[in-house]
Amino acid sequence: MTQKILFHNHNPIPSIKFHWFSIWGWLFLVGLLLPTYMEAQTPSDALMMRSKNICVLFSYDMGTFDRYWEGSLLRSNETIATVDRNTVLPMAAIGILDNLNFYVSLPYVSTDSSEPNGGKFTGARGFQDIGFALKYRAIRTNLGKGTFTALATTGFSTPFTNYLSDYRPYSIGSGAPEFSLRAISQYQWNNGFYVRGSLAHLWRGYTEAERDYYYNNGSYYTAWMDVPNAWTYEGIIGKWFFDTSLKLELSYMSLTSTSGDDIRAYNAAQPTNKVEFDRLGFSAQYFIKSIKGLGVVAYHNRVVDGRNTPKLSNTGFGITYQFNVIKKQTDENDAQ
Amino acid sequence: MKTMRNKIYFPFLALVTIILASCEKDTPRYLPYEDYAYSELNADGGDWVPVLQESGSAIEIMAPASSDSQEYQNELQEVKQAMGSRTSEQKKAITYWTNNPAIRWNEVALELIAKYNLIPGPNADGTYTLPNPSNPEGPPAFPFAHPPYACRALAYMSVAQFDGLITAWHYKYEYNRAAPYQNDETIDYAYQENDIPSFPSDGAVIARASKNILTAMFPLEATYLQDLEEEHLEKA
Repeated sequence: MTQKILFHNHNPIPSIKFHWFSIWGWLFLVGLLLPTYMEAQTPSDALMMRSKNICVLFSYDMGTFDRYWEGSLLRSNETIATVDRNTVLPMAAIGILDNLNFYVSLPYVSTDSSEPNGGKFTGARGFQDIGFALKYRAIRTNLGKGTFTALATTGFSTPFTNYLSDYRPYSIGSGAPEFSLRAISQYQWNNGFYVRGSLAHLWRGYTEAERDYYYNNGSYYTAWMDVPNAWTYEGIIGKWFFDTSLKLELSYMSLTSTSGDDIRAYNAAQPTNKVEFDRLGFSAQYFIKSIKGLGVVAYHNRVVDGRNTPKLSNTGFGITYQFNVIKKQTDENDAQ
Repeated sequence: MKTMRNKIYFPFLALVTIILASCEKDTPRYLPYEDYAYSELNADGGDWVPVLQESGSAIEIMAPASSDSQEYQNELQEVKQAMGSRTSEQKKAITYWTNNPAIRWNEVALELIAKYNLIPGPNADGTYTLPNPSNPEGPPAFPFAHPPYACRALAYMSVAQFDGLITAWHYKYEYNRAAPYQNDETIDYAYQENDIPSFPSDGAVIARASKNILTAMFPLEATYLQDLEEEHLEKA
């Protein structure tokens, strides 16, 4: 025990790793599946697909950071240089009913540090968490000069592979199951302008580390780490252009863990950390009129403030294809 | 529509229940270590050679008041009352500290070592300030419990416990004071019964020796260690 604690717990070199699960954890686990960009039918937006429609998404996300918050102190990555995190995300959305959609997703994540000083640590890669979500549209009604919509989403995700979660910032996910509930409401004016807000709570389970002792404001004689639960808030303004073929959005998103400890000075982050961040984003989605059901998306997000989390910027591109499995014809953008 | 909703609703509720029920995991804060019976007693323990002291008699400990004295009888009554009116918290403390509290003090030491194993960072001008025992608040805080420092802390504490117990054993068998529960059958004994003389208390020796060493090694934790010692002494 003694030896383990002596040689396990600390890095002789002030290495800087941290906390990753927050970002990717909530993104996927909540059913958010890559922030605000997948405007076409994600668990977190206000769009619905008609019954018997399927939409598939394939996207590539490039995230990068060279600073992180140790507690509330913003530090530079001195020993690991710039860390890249790339994600390939296949996702499918299935219209069970007009008011009920099902989602399944399985991201593949790879992480790496830039050379030379980041070369001391190897990155990680692999399939992350498989996620399932159900979105239900409870209210859709004309109100004044527009339409009011209220929806609820529930999601569940769990690690798909046995990746090591206690290897931040390279670990590909939180390594813990997550259950989420989300409430969404949107008001869209007849001119195509809309505002949307959502609130979600994330219940996270435990993740298993490869050490039998860890310090989390006190000793823990177990390999299991409690990943803190969290709240997320999201506010979005957007507008449709060109006869609902182009959509532009600005988003603000915030995540707050309900418990957890701070990253200790010059230490690696660990899954028990209390993660908080505020993030701003911009996204565009274009539905190609000449090819029925095909759309492209692009987005950029930046974490502007945080705690125990990387100061991450990420950019992504994706294509969506929607088809009707019965009629072999697309009710494109029918929700709109 | 309505039946469809119900069909989805119930499996969903069941799923939520299962997930929440499987969510609680035990994350122990200390080792599952319990008190035990000694297979044999070594009455000559007081003759062992201490590490730092001459012998088990190097420290003088006054003889306790006679077991016939009013003073002792009063103390016996106090013990009887305390054991009879133990709160559940006190019972938990007794279970926690066990009849071999050295392991708990080692856990306390390991926790402080983990807590203080933080590298002092550079100053704004790139220079480094060393942790300073005469200014433990720092910054940087004293100590930096790197592995050599941790080894020293653990060694000092073990030596203090070892020498303290030899001294305690020496006087235990010199004064041969039977344990309270043997002098008064109505008193409960918290651990496995044994024939070790009760004065001076081996548990109190461990508590005081460990606390003093750890307080010297981790001066910022003086209050925390004092509280631990009091809880331990209450049990002892």
